[in-house]
Amino acid sequence: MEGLTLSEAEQKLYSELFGTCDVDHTGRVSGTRASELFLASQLPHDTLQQITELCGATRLGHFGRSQFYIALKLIAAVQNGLPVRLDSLNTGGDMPLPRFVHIKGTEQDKKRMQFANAGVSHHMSMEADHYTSPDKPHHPILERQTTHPGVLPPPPSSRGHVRSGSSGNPPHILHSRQHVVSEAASNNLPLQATATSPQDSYSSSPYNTSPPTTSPPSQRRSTDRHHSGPAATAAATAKRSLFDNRMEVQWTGQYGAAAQAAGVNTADGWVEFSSSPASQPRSLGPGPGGAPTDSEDESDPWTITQEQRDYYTAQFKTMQPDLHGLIQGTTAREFFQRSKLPIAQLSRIWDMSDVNQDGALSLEEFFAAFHLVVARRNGYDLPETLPQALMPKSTQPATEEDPFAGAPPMAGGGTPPVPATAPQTQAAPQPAPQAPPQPAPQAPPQPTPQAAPQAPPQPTQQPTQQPTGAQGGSKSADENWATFDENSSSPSPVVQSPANFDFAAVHPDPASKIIQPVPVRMSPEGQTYSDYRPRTFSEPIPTDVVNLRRERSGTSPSKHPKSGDTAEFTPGKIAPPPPSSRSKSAKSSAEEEMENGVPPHKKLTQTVSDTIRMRPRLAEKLSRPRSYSGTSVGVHHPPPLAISPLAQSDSPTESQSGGKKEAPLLPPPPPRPPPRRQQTHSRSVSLDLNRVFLHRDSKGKHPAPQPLAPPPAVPPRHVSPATKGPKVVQQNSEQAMPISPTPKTTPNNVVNFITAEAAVPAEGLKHSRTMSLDSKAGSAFRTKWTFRRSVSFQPEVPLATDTPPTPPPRPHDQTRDKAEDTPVEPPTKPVKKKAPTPPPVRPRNRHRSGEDSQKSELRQEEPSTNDRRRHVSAPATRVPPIPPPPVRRKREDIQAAIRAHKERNTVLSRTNSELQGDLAEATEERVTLELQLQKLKPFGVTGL
Amino acid sequence: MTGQRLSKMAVCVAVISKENYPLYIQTIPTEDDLKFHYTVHTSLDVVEEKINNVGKTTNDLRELYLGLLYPTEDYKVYGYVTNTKIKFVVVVESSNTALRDNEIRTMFRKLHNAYTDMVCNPFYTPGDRITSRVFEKVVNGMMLQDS
Repeated sequence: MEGLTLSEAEQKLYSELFGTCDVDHTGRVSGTRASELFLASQLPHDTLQQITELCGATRLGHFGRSQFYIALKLIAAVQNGLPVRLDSLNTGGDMPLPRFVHIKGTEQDKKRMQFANAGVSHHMSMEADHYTSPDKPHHPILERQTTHPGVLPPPPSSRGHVRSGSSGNPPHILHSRQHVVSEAASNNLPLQATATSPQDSYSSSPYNTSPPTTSPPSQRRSTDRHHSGPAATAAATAKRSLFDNRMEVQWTGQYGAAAQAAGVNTADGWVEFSSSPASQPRSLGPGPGGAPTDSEDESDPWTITQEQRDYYTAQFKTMQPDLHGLIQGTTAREFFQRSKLPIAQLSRIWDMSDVNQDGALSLEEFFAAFHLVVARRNGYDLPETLPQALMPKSTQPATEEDPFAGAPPMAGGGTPPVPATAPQTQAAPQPAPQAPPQPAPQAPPQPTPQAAPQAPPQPTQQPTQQPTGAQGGSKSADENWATFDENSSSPSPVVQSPANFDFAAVHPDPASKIIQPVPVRMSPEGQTYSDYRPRTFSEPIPTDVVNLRRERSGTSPSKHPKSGDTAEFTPGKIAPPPPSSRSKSAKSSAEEEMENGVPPHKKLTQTVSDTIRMRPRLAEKLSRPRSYSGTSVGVHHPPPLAISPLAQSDSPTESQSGGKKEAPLLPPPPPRPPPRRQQTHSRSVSLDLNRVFLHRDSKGKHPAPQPLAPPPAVPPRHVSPATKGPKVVQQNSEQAMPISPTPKTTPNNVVNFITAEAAVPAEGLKHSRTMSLDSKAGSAFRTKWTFRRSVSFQPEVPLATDTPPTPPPRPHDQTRDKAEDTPVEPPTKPVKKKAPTPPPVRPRNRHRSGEDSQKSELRQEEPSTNDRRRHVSAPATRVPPIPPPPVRRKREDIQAAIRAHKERNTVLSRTNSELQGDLAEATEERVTLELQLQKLKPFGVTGL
Repeated sequence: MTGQRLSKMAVCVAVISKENYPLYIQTIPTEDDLKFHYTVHTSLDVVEEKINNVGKTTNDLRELYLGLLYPTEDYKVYGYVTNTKIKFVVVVESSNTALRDNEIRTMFRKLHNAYTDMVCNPFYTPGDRITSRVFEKVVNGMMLQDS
């Protein structure tokens, strides 16, 4: 119609659909035939009627081409959560193609169903791909195409082809975006790690593409599409006839989303869901995008993804158009009862979600309730208390980390009591029990088929997971736990794989590069370092920093030369950082690096560290932060090591001095402690300046101090983890590596890109400017600026060194001398090096202690994405992050206090009302008495 | 508020429906919790009597607290009736001198608030047995062992 702009893909699809529906070639489509097609969109009848009315078909009595197109576009808009208005047609070019679920006339086996579902649902496809074989994923596609003809008489086949073709590229993008988002949000890096081969991702991508999404617009849309679209299409193919009830359809979508959200056991859950749909109308088939859910799963099953949020919001709007309004209990009851969950469980969910106990649900409360219902439907046990991630008003985006950090139960608020660790633990145990049962009933048939085709791939993932679980998931008492940990941490195979796939698909080149590093990682630390270094952004500054750390740690000289080479390369890409983290092998090290603010590391750390972090974080987060605060030196040391490799690349000489002394593994731990001390000093002064000075000092001095100070506290621990952990981690990281690079390269990975890009172009200037604050991040790019500053700061160095070196006095003297020398001599090289070096050193000691706590806080507080950015970006972010944790805690406290005060208020108000009542009575009595008195007085007076 | 800080509180809390069947009875862990059930059951007559008397004597329905229903050798039984004729019965130990009338009133207010919140749950059908964890938590907070 007027102003109706259609993309090529849309025009193609629409014209094909029109052609298929216009059997008589009269240019008209009868209402019945059109409704037949529209019903395949799984939209509610009411919505379809509205659409039919809006497009003008109701007046004409039939669908002309324009009406038909408008209707299709409206369906697409509604499927993406837009209101049923003509305005929705022009919201942007991102509008995905409408999704129609075709009823498969002939579905041979559940296997096919599963495959189809898998293809539809990203999770499925991703999993399948991961598991191994591109072949399997392909099969689903083939099946789809073949099956399509079944339901919709004419168009199906063509539709399927069109969709697959049109969506080919976009889906990748979407996936990549989703992955990126998820990663950013939940630090999903581990997941990426699981995905070892970019090829898998490619193979998976086609599946993903199956949904008709031509445009990779907003992530939300993509996610939405994934939820309802791809999944729906896949499920629809299998079960389409089942979707008679709108609600059911919605529920199916929700369930799918929930499953994704729950996402813990992606394969099992999915299978179950897919199978369930066949038997039940509400089949989980339409599960939302696997990628997002994966991310959620990884991070926290209770974290609501953006796509889920959008879906929930859309559902909320169906009952309460005003997002600020409330859904009355009766309405909500009716709605949630459609989930077919037992009333007792719904009641529990309500008790948890209706935080203010007002018998109605606000939007956020609805999110929590819906999410819990979906999670329960997907086999998750209900938490004892409302998960932190679902707490209204509390930043929902905040990932699991927040709960952990802020988890400390609030005294006042009954709702927030979830302990910091509780969310993870709860989530883990819950999924385990539920997951098994669900699969058993519905899934059994599907699982078997899946297992056969996917079996090969799964094993691969499992091994990876196992190591990860063993490393990070110490808690994994139950298998479920392990899976949870993996998922949450990132190791989870299923989730990770999709992310990896996406990335790989999106950015083949980066992935390839990344892949290469992986082998390096596999090899001893030195090799990995070298590879990573070049890739890593490791700008001169970061490298310098790393070198300093390495020197302190005494990493191997061989690495240093490599690092130097890499340093040259570093400017090019971000990838290198991961190796460093890998080399560090210690999960904590990666995190520490992040904290230290090494920008280049950020990427690496993000990918590798994320994987590592996730595990360690879950299990170790609490311990590490604490350890940092308490015995920070020992624990912290490992991270510096990881960093050190990078640094070594820049300054071989320095690194050699440091690295030669200690073995590759051992050296790292020791260096960190010294830096901390320095960091602390730096903090006292100015972060950047201090760090720089410290670094200089550390460079010179560190070698000596490192051996002295570090070994005592943590060295042994770090060493063991570094040696063992690094290897395992390296493997994981290697696997992850491809992913991480891909995200960076992929446009979708906004976060990563931002960080990387910022680091490269902007970071240089910005960091240099913010040197003081962002010593870590800026170190890489600060080069020139840092030089100037470093020179100016040099005088300060001695001071800083004096304070920090307390433990190793001798080294300090040497370091001081060296530091002084280095600043003067190396102006060209040293400049960068100096800048980076200082940050690491100071950060290590004081900063780390502070940073660690800060980091932990940040992690907890902020979603994974934010954390990554912050960590990667620079100290500046670190500094600010510290406040956030308190903020969250404060929020909880405040909420609790508010509740307590409210209670008190009510009590006081009641007493007040009572007292006022008494007062009123008393006043009445007084008035009456006065009146009586007045009556009596006259007599008295007269009498007198 | 103040009630929570008391060292000793109720040994038995019961919620009785409008039709005088129990919706919820929670007692401290004891071997003879039937004794409390019996005590609560017998108290219903007193409650009924008081309600009727209140209706006859005064139309003041604002006072929901029925006060001490009857004392036994070991326990005191207090009653409370909501506007919807839901009865709350609390049994406290006679030896517990810290529980004065004011504290009992506070306890009943809390109980009433918890019940109101619980009823706000659309998935609870009035008249069903109370299984709400939140409500149970509140009641447990008033029980002797939890204080």
